[in-house]
Amino acid sequence: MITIKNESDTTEAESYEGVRILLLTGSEMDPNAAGAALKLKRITEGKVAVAILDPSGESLKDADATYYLDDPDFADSDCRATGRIASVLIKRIFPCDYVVCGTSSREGTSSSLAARIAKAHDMVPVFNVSAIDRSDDGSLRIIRNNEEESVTWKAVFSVSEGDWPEAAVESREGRHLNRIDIGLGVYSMGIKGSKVRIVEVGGDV
Amino acid sequence: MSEGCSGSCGTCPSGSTCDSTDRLPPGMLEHYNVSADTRKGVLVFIQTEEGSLDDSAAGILTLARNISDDRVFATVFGGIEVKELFGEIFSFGVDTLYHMRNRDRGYRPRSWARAFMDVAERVNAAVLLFPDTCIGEELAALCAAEADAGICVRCTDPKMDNGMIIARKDLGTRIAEVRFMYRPAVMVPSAEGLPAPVSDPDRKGTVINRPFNMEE
Repeated sequence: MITIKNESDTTEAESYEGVRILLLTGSEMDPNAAGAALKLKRITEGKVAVAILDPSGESLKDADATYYLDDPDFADSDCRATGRIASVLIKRIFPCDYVVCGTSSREGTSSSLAARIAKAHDMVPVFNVSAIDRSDDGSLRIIRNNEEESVTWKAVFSVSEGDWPEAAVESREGRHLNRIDIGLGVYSMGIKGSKVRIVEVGGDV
Repeated sequence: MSEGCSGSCGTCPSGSTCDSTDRLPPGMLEHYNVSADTRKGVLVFIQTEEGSLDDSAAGILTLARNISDDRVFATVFGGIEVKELFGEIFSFGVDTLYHMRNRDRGYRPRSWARAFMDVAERVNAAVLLFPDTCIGEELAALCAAEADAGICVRCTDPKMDNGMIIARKDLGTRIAEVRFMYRPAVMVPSAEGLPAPVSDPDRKGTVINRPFNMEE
């Protein structure tokens, strides 16, 4: 069953002064990325916002805010342009401490997107994370590629399979943002802001 | 002087009667086109596992040789133990090999990516190739972000067609052609789509020792 909720708490999440987490997702929710975002929310007691790069996508039941990036000009964005859209969203709408990438452009991966957001905001890129926990010193203890590492602050994660909590998905009303809302020029996104063009050449796989 | 001009069009020098000899020689405008992309050649990241080449290295070096419009450059990270691999690396067609050295032998993604991009800028490479491995994908993502370049992960059939770099990508239900509109192009060719290795044991090349900074 799909429930439609009002996003009366979006403003509260935007002005929250504790830890803020942003989950980036596309038309389909990546269960690993969603689980990682929920785990971060639990161990940091923060607020999580879901930014959906496709208006047909769904949000999380436990999300504190939902954003739909809904503009025809966003179509056909490559990894570079998608990174710009996400970076401007973080800069102008939802500044956050942790970003979990659960989507990408067609030619890239979630790691490609994570690297661009990390570079734009001087955050630490952490790839292929399979577990996150809290250390005694307050930092995050993560496991990636079967090795343990520590992350202190401001990180962008791409997530692989792991023992993540199950995340319930639901449709939410959310806040719809177009390019004017986030303040992006037409040459920063879509085909005009992309370094690659993707042309379908036909032929089913 | 423009066609039909009698010397009073305003574009010719005053008092002169310009003719076709005043024009630039053919090709000079293209020669002085500072906006033209001068990047050429292919730079490959060679991954090693405990002193030997990664399984995909031979295929990816052969691919680099096949698609390159100029020289083939490569980087290999490690200590003195990788010197034994130089002959094998050159046999697959590498012209210049950068031996990236640091006392810390551990894999540090951001330091390695920065060191790799330093080489990429130095050699002015048009294509940056990474193996289809966990490390290769991570470095490709970081290098594409650093260079603000286009990326294609797990692509097949990369080639240069009339100066444009093109690859194919399996999108699950259909196949798409990925066209890089700018250089450099960052590519992670699919491990399954690599060509059969072509080796010439007599081939020689140049090794450049290049220490790099591990600070992240």
